Amino acid sequence: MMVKLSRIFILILVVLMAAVTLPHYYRISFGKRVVNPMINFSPVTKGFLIGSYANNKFQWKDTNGHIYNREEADNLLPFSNYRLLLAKGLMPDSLQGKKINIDTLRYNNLFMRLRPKEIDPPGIKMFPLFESKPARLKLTMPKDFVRFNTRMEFVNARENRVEEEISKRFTTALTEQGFTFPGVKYFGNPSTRKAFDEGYFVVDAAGKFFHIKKIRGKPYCKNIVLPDGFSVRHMVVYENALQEFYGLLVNDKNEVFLLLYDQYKLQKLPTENYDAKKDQLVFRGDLFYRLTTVIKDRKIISTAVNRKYQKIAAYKQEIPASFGETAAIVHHYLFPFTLQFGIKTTYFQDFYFSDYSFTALWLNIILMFSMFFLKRYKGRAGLNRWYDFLLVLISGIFGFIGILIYENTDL
Amino acid sequence: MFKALFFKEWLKIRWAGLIMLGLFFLAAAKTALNISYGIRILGANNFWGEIILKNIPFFNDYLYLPVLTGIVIGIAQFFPEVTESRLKLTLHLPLKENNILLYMAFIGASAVLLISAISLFVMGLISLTYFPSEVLWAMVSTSLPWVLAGLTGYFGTIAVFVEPIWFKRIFFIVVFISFIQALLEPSHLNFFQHSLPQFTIVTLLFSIAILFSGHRFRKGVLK
Repeated sequence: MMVKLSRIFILILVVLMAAVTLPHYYRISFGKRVVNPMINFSPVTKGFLIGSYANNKFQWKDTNGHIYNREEADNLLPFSNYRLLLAKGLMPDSLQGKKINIDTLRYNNLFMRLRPKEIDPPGIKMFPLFESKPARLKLTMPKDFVRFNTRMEFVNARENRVEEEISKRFTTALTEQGFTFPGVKYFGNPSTRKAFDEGYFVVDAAGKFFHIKKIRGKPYCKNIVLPDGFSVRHMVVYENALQEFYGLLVNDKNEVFLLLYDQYKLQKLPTENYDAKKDQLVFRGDLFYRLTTVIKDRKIISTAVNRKYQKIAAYKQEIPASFGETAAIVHHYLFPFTLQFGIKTTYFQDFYFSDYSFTALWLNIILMFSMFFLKRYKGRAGLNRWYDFLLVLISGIFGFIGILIYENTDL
Repeated sequence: MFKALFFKEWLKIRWAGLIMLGLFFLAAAKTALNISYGIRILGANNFWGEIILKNIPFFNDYLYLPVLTGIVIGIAQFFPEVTESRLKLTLHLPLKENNILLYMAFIGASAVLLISAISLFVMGLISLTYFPSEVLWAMVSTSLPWVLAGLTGYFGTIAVFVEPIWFKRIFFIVVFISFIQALLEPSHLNFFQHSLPQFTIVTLLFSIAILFSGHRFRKGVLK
C-alpha cells in the first residue's frame, strides 16, 4: 500500500514538474517578441499617434491610418522631442496659439507607471523619513528608520534601538489627527535621488489616509479626508517640479485619481476596464494634455484629457499574442494546463496553475487508450490500475510521461 | 532495533554533518564580517537602506548550503549502503522494509533540519545585533525555502542511490533539480511569504517517493 502510494506521489511530482518545464520550453521555442505600441497624443494634429513595429521597422501611425516616418513624427510630438527639435532648430515658438517656454515645457512633461506587482510587494515594512527641508538643500539618508506598531517608532540604524523622543513627538502628532495605529500601508519614494521630498502617505488601521512629513525635525501630519467608501489600494508618489499633484491614487474600485496639492482634492482620471491586479497603468502629461493608458494582456486603451481634465479622445488597440496562431492552437491541444511558480503580476512565488484547457482532452483520451497497447496495462492488470488511466485522462501528456518512466510493476 | 539503526546511521553521518555545520559557521562568520564592514564603509543607515529598501539578502552565502548539506548527508548515509549492496542486508533486518527506509530517511532529514536550524539560529543572532526584528523575520521567511530545497536535495540523493535503473535515476535527478531550482532561484526577501505551506507539502511528497525505489531495489528489478 505504502509503495503504491509512493508511486502515485512520484507521478504527481512528475506531472507538476512537467507542467512547469514542458510549457516553459515550448514558450522558449515558439514565443515571439511582443512590443507594446507607444501611444502619444500630438498637440499638432490633436489626435493620437501610435508608434509600433511593422515588419521589424519602427513607424508612427495616426488613427486615420496615415503613416509617418521618424522625422515627420518628431515634428508632430514637439513636447517629447524638444531636445532634438531645439538642436535642429525646428522647435516651434508657439503651439495652438500659445507661446512655448522650454522650462515650462520641461517640467510639464510627466510620467508615472503602476505595475500590478508593485501593489503590496514583499519586503520589509520599514522606511526612512527624510528631512523635507534640509538645511543644505540636499536630501540625505536619515539616521533612523520608521516602523508602525502601537505607535510610530524611529529605529536608529547605528545603535539598532528605538529613539524615544522623536517617536513620541510623531506619535502624538498623528494621534492628534485621529490616526489609528498601526499604519497598514505606506507609499513614498524612499530615495535621495529626487528633486525634493513629500514624505509618505499612510493608510491607518481604520482605513483613513494620512500625509506624514518631517519638516526641520518636526512632524507634519495631516489627515486627508476621502469621500465615503473610498478605500486606498495604492498610491504612486511622484515628487515633480510642477507641484500640481502628489501622485496617482488607485482605490479598491479600480478608479484612478490624482491627489492634488490644492487642499488634497482628488481629480478623477478617466480609465476604461482598469483592473489594478492585472493591468499596467501609465500616466503621461505634457503642456496641453494628460494621457492615461491601461495596458491589458491583449489590449491597450488610452484616454486623453485636456488640462481641465475634460475627456478629449480615446483609443483602443489589440496587442498580438506572444504565440503565433498555430503555436497557440497546438499549445491548447497539447497541454491540459500549465504551472508557473512566478508570474509577472506579482513578486510572490506560489503554485500558479493556468485555466484547464478542455481542447487538450482529445489528446488525453488518445493517450489514455494508447495505454491499452502497453503490455502491462492489458487485461485484468490494467483494470487494477485504473488510477493510472484517470491520471492520464486528467493530466494528459504530463501524466503519460510519468507512467511511461515509473511503470507499475506488480506491486 | 530502532536504537541500533539510529546508532548505525549516526556513525555514517556524524563527520559529514559536522563538516557541513563547520561550513555553515564559516558562512556565518563571513556574513557577520561583511555586515560589519558594510556598516563601517557605507554607514549604518545606508547599509540598512540597502537591505530594507533594495531587499538585498545579506545572508546569500547560505543559499546553496542547505542543498549541499542534504546531498552530502544523503551520500554519507547511502553511498556505503549501495556499494557492495549492503542496503539489501539492512532491508532484511527484522523490521518492515518500508519502515527501515523511512526511518533512515527520517534520521537523515532530521540531521539536515537540525544543521539548518542551528545555522539559522546563529544567523538570527547576527541579524538581531545589527538589524531590527523585521529583518530577522524576513530572513527566516526567505531562508525557509532554502531549507526545503535542502530536504528535497536529501530525498533526491536517496532516490538516486536506491533506484537500481540508470534511466530512472537520471529522470529523478531532472525532477528533483527542477523543484530545487524553483525554491532557490528567486532569492529575494519574502518571495515565499504566502506559499510556504504549499511548498512544504510538495517537499514532503518527495520524502515518501523514495519508498518506490526502495521497493524496486529490494526486488532487484532490471527494467
